[in-house]
Amino acid sequence: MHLVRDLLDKQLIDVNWQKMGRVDGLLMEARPGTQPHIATICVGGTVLTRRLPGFVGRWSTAVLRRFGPRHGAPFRIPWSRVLSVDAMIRVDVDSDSSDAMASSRWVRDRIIDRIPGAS
Amino acid sequence: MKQKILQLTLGVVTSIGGFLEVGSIATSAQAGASFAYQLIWPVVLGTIVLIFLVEMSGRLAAASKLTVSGAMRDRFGFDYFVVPLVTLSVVIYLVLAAEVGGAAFALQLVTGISYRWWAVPVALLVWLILWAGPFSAVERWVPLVGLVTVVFLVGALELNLDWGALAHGLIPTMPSHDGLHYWFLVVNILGATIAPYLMYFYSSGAVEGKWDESYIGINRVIATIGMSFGALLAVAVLVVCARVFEPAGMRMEGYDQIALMLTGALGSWGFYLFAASLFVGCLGACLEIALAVAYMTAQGLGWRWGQDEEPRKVPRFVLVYTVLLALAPWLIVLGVSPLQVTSMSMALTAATLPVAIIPFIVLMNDPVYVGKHTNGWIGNCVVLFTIVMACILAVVTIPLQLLGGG
Amino acid sequence: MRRGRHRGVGRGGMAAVLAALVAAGCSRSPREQARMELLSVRSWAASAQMVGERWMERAVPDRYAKRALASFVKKIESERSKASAADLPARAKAHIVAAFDSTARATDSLLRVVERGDRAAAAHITARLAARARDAHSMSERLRAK
Repeated sequence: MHLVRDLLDKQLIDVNWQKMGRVDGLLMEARPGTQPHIATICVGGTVLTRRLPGFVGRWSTAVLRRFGPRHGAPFRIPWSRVLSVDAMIRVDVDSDSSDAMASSRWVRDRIIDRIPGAS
Repeated sequence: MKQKILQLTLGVVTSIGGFLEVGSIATSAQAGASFAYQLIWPVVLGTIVLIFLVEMSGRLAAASKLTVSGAMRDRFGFDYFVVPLVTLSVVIYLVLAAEVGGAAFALQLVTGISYRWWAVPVALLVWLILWAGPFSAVERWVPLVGLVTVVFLVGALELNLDWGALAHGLIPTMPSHDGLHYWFLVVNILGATIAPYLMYFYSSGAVEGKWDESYIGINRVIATIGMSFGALLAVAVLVVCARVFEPAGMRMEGYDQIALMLTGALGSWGFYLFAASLFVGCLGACLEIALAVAYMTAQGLGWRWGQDEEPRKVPRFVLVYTVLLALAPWLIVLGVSPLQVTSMSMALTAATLPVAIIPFIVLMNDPVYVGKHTNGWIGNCVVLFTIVMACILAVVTIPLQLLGGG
Repeated sequence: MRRGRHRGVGRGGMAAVLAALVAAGCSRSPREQARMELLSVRSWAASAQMVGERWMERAVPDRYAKRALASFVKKIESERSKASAADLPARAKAHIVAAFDSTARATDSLLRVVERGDRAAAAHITARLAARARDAHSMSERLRAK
């Protein structure tokens, strides 16, 4: 499997077939004597801002750490929970009840619900 | 099959809202007033490129079930995707400001109240339609209401047209006078016609409409007829202005002059129908632009999205268009001339076309994404040639124009 | 690395040459500038004239005519200031500034007529504006012919 081509930046789908972000980063694990392999998929938070170049990247990472939901900590999915790798990557996570959708819920609660006619 | 014909309205909506909006009206009017029929060729060239691009975005959606933005992030990764995302968002914001200005000016024409007071209400109205209305309502009503723009065709046909001179305008010629203004208008026309936001809007509509490979044929028809209809209207505007303004030597420097274009042939009807067309065209464009940026952002970042979804289910998608529309009216409120905003936004669109389009062309030639439906070489060549030409012209003429040409 | 830098200079150099060519093609002699100013006078006079005529025909509402004419006056005056400061041949400059002035005055009179609702008086002023436009046009043609 070609990591960058087949995994990175692909759409993630949860166990209920709902979108839950993209593969923003991959954590590899390398132990002596074994092949390096993927340990974790990282979603959101500072993983993305750190990919931005130079000053923009450093500044946005800092802002996210100060003010972001969960202080910019990315949502981590262990490789064992990946169900299928295709055009989209399906994982065994219920995004609605997990931290993956934390910022979405924050926007919903703090902003969307305050506007009349939200539901 | 009936479903597919109904989808024709997607093409017409995209066309009216995306084509005959303030950019096309303003640039066609300026072109006709300053150069008579000489500048019909960039309208036609731009339309051909646009048809190719819109057809490609539909084909991408049908073959891969991905939208343009989603496929771009997928294929090129965030590190490259962020460049078109940010560049296009900034340029498209300026286009949105211009459209808000156009709609606000239409209201000034009718009510006499300054357009600066109307900018915020217009943005609010656009937001309300997106907040409360499902995509299908937008798809159904905009083309119906947009038919008012046919008045430009009526206006054009009312005049005794010199068809020979018109046909001559289809061929690119060197300007007979005022070279800088001529090429600046070419840039503006190309930027007004080849609007990247149309691709994001169209492919998202196709995915929300659940297109599959069986739609590839009808997609070609939709793209061609839809965009051609808009082109026809733009040429009609140009022709009317060529007949009404050019012989009198009137250069269009503001919307109040452009508003006169149908009043000779159609009297007071001409005045109010112009205002109605300007309003509807701009409103449609605002809807599409706001949605296009929200689509681009949400799809690129993997968020949930969809105009048909309840806002609570797609909060970040809704936040994007909300913030965009909140920021949109302020250039106009602060009193920047609407025609200037329009001109600059069109020119900047042309200058940044390669950023959006070149990666897209690469994508459309990649069988991983479009299977056996990759691009033909004609499409690739026409699009790439025009994009590069538009960019070079823009880069050369914008600074000169700013430094006080024309 | 070095190859990349060369390529960068090449592209930048080309753009600079292209810009210089276009600029050279578009830079204006004082006479050409004077001609452009006269065409501007013609454009504004014709615009004010058209607004007046349409208003007389009741093809445009009062509120539009008033706003449009008021904005024309402002723009004519600003162009007049630019022209009087510009590098133009002396005799032409005097004519041009005078032309802007009389066009501004005529447009302003038309504005006041519209405010009064006096359609009879408007015909006289639109004729004046038509004359201003024709004069400016023929002056500009003479500059071109020479």
